[in-house]
Amino acid sequence: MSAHAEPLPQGHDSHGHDGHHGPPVPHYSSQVTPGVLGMLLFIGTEIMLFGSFFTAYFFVRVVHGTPWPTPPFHLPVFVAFLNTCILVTSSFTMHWALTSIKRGNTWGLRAGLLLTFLMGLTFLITQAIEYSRIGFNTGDGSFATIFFCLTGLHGAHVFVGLSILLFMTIRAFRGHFSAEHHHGVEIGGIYWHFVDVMWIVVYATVYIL
Amino acid sequence: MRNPLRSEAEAFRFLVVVIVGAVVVVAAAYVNTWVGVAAAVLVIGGVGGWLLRAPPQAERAPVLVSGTPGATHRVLLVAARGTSGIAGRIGERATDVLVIVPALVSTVQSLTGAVDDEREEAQQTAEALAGELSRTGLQARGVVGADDAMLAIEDALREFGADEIVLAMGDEALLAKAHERFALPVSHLEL
Repeated sequence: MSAHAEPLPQGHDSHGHDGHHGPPVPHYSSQVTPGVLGMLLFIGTEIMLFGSFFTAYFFVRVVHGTPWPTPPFHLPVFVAFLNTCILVTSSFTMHWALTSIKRGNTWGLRAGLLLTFLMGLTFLITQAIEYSRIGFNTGDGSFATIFFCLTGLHGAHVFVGLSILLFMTIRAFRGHFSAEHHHGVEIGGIYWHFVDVMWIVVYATVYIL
Repeated sequence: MRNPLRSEAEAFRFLVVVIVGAVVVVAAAYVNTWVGVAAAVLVIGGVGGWLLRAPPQAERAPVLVSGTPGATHRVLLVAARGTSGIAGRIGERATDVLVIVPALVSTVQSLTGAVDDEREEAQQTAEALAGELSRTGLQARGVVGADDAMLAIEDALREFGADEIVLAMGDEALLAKAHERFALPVSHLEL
């Protein structure tokens, strides 16, 4: 099949407006836009990465039968529960932010993103404090190694999510988003919810079960 | 199938489902380990079933607005082998038409590679339809598509920036699939 590429008349852009001489804007053949597809593929690789760590977790705990947590160590379940509540709430504020901008409410977007960022930051700081007080380190057996690998990997993702949120928040305060143009918030939101989903799984398997 | 990562709203919904599922598994595991395992299996199955369910129509992505200049309207016409009598029936706005005739074959033919006759026939139909449309003043050409209508459309759209897809084959089910898969206006032409 040969490509169908006719030059546009001089002085017309792809929307029929004057002043642009470039090629027509490419069409999307799929309902999934390239940006979302990129995030989808990225999250696919992330699931595989987390999957490898969970495989190690199940091998250590189920196949090898390592006590969880290995005595005399204890896991700060309650603090982690509070942290979980904070992170889950941050997903709700993220959703609120996007819902707001879809309705043209820029202040709702700004407040939602700011709250999401602050809650994410609280989560990360609490996790760092938890690490410093937990009483064991990465070299204290397979239990400790897997614990730090899984929670640390997730923490790294929260850090990345916070970086994205920071840029989103700055852009929101600069008025870059509107009811029609808020794709940057949409993609960042997908990532943030993914980070939350992974934490639910990590928290349930590492701390509770 | 529902894609939990298609949009922020879908991802948020998926998060809520995961939270509910995790609470059920943890509660069941407190009762008994094996009850927890059973609950986990049920929850994973339930989430899988939820993902397999098609999202309601309202949640689908909006159809994209044409990006071609005002005077141009590109139509991707998908027709079955042996189709004829298409001239003057694909809309007055059309200026450029790409005719795709998918080389549909049976499973046995596909596995054995015995597709030459079908492709030949598809090529003849594509050329005949393109000729038919050219005689009405349209810029048209015809090519053979993949052995699956959806795949043939997807392939064609990579090279032909269509503003509209017209299906001159298949039934309502094919039309629904095309609506779901492509962010372009799709219509069905009864022959």
